Amino acid sequence: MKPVIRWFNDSLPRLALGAALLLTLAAPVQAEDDILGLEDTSDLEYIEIDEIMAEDENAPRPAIPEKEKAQAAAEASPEEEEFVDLDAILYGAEGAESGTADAATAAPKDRKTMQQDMQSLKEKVLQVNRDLFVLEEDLLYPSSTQVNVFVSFDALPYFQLDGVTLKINDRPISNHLYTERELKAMNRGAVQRLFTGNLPTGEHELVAIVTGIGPEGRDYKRAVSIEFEKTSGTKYIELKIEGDNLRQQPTFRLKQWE
Amino acid sequence: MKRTLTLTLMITTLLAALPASAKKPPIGDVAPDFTLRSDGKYNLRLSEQKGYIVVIGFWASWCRSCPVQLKALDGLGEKYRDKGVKVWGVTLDQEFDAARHYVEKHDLRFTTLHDSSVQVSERYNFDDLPTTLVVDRDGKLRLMSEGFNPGDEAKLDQFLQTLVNE
Repeated sequence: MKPVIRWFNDSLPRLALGAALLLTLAAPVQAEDDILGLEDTSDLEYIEIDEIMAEDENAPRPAIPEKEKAQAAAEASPEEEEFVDLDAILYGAEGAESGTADAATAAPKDRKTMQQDMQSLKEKVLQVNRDLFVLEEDLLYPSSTQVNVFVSFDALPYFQLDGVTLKINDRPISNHLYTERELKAMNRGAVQRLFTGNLPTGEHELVAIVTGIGPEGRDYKRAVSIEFEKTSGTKYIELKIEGDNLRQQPTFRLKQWE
Repeated sequence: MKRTLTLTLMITTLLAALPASAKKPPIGDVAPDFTLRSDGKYNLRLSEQKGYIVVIGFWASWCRSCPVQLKALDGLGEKYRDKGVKVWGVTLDQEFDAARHYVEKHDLRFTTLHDSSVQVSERYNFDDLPTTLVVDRDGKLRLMSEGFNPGDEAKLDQFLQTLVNE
């Protein structure tokens, strides 16, 4: 018995250490179960979720930062993605669609308004220009001294007007060459204001020298003159170019208008 | 004293030169308008040519260096005829018949106009003959070149090509 007792005496500290270790490892699990007072872990899980759900329904929702929202949406399951999409449709997408629709209707309106504004502005500019022209004429050519010379022209197959030179009291005042476009306009009945100027009251002489291409393509040059009295009112004189169909010759006449 | 005199002379020279240079129509501005008799049926007015590029060569039958310019203008006129380019030769000859005779003799095909009273050349205020102007489709003066050297034809050709493509 003596070797058995010796082995026991020798192994006792080792056995004691092993038992202590075993007790130490088993102690925390037992302590946790004691604290919670629960025996089944599945029951624990079930109760926790219900409680959390109930708490979540009653509690106010905390504000989630946009970044986290986006992250959550990116990481969400397909089911959750559907909800996110619905939100986007309800708020984001609908708003965007209505915005584009508004923009589409607003753009033509804006354009129309702008066009109307431009038109009214143009009309105003024209009106101002007209007023300035009248003002300039009044200032430069007061009616007391104003003299106007007009040219009217009948379409003649045997005469093509080339140019008109005007002289008042032997002084050249105007020299005009007619282009094709002007002749066409005059053939349609246009009257051209060839000269506007100032003259003092009294007796004056106007000479008009007309050049052109006459019958049979020959160069044509004629001069006509008129003596007139400039009074206090505006003076209007017309150079009339007509045709003598019997003689197949153009005729030139200066006529005063009161 | 000498320095003040030099400065005064310089200022006087500058002032005298200013009005002369100011009279020339600026490049890029609307070209001064004119109406002249032509060798065609009707008189021609520059402002009525909007939409066309107009090359105007001022010349005279007595001008020795003009034939080079006239030959070049004639060639360019034919080259760009279908591209909206008109070439006018404005003669400063006193008698239009002398210019007509010259044009017929040298087989020049461009339109000839007669600046008998030299009013157009005075308006453009150039000093030398020949002088070449180019007016663009909007009626703006784009080129004014006094004198004409043999190499100028290629330059004018290139310039017209640029204008045609605008």
